[in-house]
Amino acid sequence: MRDVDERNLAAGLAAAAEEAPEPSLDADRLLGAADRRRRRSAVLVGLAVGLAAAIVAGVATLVGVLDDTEDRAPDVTATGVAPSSAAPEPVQLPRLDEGELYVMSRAAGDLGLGQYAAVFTNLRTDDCRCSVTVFLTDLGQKGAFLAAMVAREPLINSTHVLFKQGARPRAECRSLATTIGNGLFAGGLPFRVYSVSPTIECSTIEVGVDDVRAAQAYFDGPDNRWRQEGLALTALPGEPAQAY
Amino acid sequence: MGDRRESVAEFVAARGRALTRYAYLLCGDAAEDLVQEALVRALARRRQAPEDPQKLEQYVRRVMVNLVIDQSRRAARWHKALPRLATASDVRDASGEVCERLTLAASLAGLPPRQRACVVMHYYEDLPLAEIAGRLGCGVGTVKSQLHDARRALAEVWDGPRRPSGEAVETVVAVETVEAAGDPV
Repeated sequence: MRDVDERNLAAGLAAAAEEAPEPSLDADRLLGAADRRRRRSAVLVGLAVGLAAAIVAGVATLVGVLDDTEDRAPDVTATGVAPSSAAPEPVQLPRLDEGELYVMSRAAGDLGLGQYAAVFTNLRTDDCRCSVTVFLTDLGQKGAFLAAMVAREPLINSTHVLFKQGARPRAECRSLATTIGNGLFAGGLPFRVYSVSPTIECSTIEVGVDDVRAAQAYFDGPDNRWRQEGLALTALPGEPAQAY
Repeated sequence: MGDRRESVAEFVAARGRALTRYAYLLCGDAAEDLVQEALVRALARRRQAPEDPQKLEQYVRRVMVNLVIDQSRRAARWHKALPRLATASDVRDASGEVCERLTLAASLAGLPPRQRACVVMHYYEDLPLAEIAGRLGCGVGTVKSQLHDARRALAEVWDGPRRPSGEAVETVVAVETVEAAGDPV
């Protein structure tokens, strides 16, 4: 199979580059566009920060999150106090295209599985298609995490990256879910277990069962040998896996 | 503001041509749009005058590469701006023989964005494989593979640099790629 000689290619590229048209870049136009771009970003950041200030009264450190009533784990402030549940309406960020969401998710995922594995729980692309939420066990590192994302992918608009509290690191979460799942599937319980899965922030293990009342009573009672600090077991209606 | 404007004007005067050439290899006739977009994004990150022109240029180049690689997934603006250039299949005659070879710029445009970016970064910008891998967020092996595939694709449609008279400078050499020992990692 044919191949191009690398020296030819380098020479060819240098020659081809000379064919580029003369640029007509104007400093004033560039700066004007840059200032408009920065003002747009500042408005979005200001809205998010203002919302956080309304939620967290009297706390110096602001957590830049949007309230999401579906999340089970509360957003914990620097003082360890969960914010009031009577939160104002969340402010919707502009929708992003799939490419931008992909780039953000990829950067966050790479960092979470690598350099930040000790504090990374999970991430999700939010239903609004306007943001990516990263779950960290140590929200004090969100600034560094965000800076690392932007260093990795300069195109990322940081106002569309949100952070929420994770209960435990991903590896620990998976190990815990596996241990609990193996124990529950072993049987000997007053109900049948069909599925075991942690919630996205890993504060809860959701167990699909045939008898929700019996299962929840067990999980809340003294016989639950998987009871531990900071972990809830929740029974949900489940179904047996379908054979293909 | 005056300092900032002067710094930017100086930078554009000194490096605008080089950035446009780089952008031209990445995306063809949309080069100036690419340079402008990357510069706007770079300048939007700080209010002050750019401190280090070299760092600014490196940043702008990285942004341009990322924009081009993500072009297939991004909003319509970039898709509208990209030139539609002939591929080898467009110039084949009825018998299937290639009747016209393409210029390198046109050949590059036929490569997938990631391959094209690898070629430009390695053979034009002279970046080591490890740095390219870091910028693209992939392994060195992946970069080697991209370069290998790109060279083979180019060999099908480009027959090497030519003198102004049209005479070939060097012919395409049909050899297997030999991996250089001790590539920097």
